[in-house]
Amino acid sequence: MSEEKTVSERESLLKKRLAIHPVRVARRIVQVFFFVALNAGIVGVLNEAEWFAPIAASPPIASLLSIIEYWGAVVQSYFFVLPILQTYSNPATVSTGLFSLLQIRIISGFFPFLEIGVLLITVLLVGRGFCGWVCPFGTLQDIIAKAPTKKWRIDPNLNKDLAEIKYYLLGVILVLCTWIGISTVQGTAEGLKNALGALADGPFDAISPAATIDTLFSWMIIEGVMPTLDNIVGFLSMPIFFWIRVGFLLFIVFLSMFIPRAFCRYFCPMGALAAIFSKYSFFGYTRKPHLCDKLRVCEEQCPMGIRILQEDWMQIRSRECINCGICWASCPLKAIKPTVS
Amino acid sequence: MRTRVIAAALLLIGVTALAIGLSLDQGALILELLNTMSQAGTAGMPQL
Repeated sequence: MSEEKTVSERESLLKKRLAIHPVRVARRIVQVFFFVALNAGIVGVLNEAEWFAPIAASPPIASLLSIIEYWGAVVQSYFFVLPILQTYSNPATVSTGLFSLLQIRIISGFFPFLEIGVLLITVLLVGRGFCGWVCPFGTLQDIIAKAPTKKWRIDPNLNKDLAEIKYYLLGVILVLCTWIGISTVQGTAEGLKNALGALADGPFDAISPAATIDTLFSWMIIEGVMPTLDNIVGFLSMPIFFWIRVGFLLFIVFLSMFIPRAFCRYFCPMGALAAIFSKYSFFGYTRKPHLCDKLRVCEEQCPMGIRILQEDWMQIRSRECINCGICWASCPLKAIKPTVS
Repeated sequence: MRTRVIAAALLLIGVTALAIGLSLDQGALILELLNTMSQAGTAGMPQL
């Protein structure tokens, strides 16, 4: 009983410390800003919806929409391409994800100089920091993880094995894109594109849960769809590809309730692409062995399930690290610090 | 030391690739794409 109380007190203290830690507060502000600003086109989508017109007429809502539009314009000016999971087909987006652009560039038969440049520069400077701080789908998973569910404790070896899925997925997507790209250059792509259908315009975008939620959500806003019986009947007549996409999205949402950042850990090809180079990042975290009592609080709190104590103490160079800073914020002995090398 | 050399080389490659990409006006595709709806991202979904 007393042990239970001690565990509960420890968790309560940890929650209080995390809630006020500057890195945690700063990350939340950055996440909210980018989540709203990157999807600032939602204002245009809302304006298309008839039911929203009376709401938009009220002064506070009109001011809020103007602020969102302004944020969107700022982000579009300075961050028109970012290493995040954001599909350009999202009707609400003002910016585009690097992986989405990379696919379309290769498919069109061009070498992706711009994408490689942006990827290498950002990853070398801040590692996978964009996954942890900016990516709207990552933020969405963080919100879902707030669900009051008992989180699954994944065996570290299993976690490591499952994390390999995203690298295989990345390989398959790049091979497919290159095949289509070469066929495009040779002028023989038509048959291949017909055979691949929707996958020919961006193999991952066609099944991406981020694209699914963006498109579906925008459609529901415009159409004002509410879950009535008629709508359910209408939905049941949708093509099978729609259900595959929605099924994958629901699977990710379900997993994210029990495993923080489940999509980032196991399925995100953009994360996999960044991870290849992230071990060479100048920015990272260091663990001071003389301060560390191996309490493993950092490992318990890490959303990516990294075994921090098994990493090199001079610089934690795990390619799975998204530089969220939770290990830094959660350590009661202040043994983990950010470092630039 | 080896890691730093590789990191410096990758940074150099990144800057060069970005410079080539911008000189080829590859950034123009982004705005073009943002103004058009892709078949991929909306495939199988209800039409907007």
